[in-house]
Amino acid sequence: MSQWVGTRTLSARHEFDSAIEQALVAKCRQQDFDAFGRVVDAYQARVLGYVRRFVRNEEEALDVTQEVFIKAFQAMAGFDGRASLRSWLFRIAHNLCIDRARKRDRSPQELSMEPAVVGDEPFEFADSRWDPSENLITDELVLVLESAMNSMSEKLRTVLVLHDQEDLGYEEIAKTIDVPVGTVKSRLFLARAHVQKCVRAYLDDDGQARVNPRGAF
Amino acid sequence: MNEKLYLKLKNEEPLTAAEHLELEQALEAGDQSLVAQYLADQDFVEPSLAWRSSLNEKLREIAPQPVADKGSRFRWLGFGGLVAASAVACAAVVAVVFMKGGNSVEVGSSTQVVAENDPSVSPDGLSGSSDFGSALIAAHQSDTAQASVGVRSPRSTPRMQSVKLDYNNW
Repeated sequence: MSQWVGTRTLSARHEFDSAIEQALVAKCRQQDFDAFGRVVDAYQARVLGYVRRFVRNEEEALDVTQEVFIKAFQAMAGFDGRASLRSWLFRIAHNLCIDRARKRDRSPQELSMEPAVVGDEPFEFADSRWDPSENLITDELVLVLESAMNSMSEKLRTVLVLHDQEDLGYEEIAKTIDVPVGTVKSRLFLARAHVQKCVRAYLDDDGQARVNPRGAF
Repeated sequence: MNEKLYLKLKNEEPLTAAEHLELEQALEAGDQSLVAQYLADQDFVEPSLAWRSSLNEKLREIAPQPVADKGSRFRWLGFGGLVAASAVACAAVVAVVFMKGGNSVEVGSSTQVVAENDPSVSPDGLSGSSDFGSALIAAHQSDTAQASVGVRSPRSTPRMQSVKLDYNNW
């Protein structure tokens, strides 16, 4: 039986104000079950969304997400509050996903990007054919994007998801995955470049035939 | 972006100030990229209630027992002691009442003492026609009298105290 809820939330990005979060954390440190329940309510969808980027199997993703909150509940006394509760939860999720990947040794190999960028051709992110205000992402393009994300290394995907999906800042990401800020920026650039390479390949091969009547994708 | 910088990024090598600037500009441009827009618009799927219920069960298993439980244990002990003390106090009160009731039986049996102190009066000679006789018979038929001879429990003896014997009119 699937444990997924049929409806997708329009906006699960409900977060606590700083004062409320601090009060909740204080209660959670005292093993307050109800307070921790509010934390779970607020972040369960986001943590699950993050975990699903690294764990393909849905049931396994749900299990890992449960494990994230269980570990958080156990370690709440050691949460110093320097990072936000959200990034702390992502850090736990990140470590659990890495552990799983190491155990099963099925981490995807990072694709070489040299053919796409070697040369004097300038590398521009802003694709002139993409205007989000005028175009919709088709289902086919979604598949291309998802495929591109799945084919990149976990290091790049982690930074890309945390920055572009979870809207974490560079420094917050650096603390979450324990790398320098410069490394975060480098990885973010490489991750986006990898996706753009895949999208370009799609557009150049057979995507042109599916371009909408306005000639823009 | 030139190849040299790209390779530096790929190898995670330190960048010069100019390269940093170039990277920052590339990242700013990338914020408007297709993948950034796609990920920013991602919806989130809420786990089911069954999943949440399962998580709650696991959390309860690992949650430490509330301190209040130990306190409640002591509270129950205190409550039990209070009940026991109350029972002892009640028993003591009952015992005191019982002892007082026993003394009144002695007082209530004064009719017999009166009869014994006056040799002219024989209990066998009493008749119900005289006031004293009637009172004495009534007294003997009362609960106190029955209690004094062991027929009835002496707890009812206080009623006997209301019986007045008129010694001047017999």
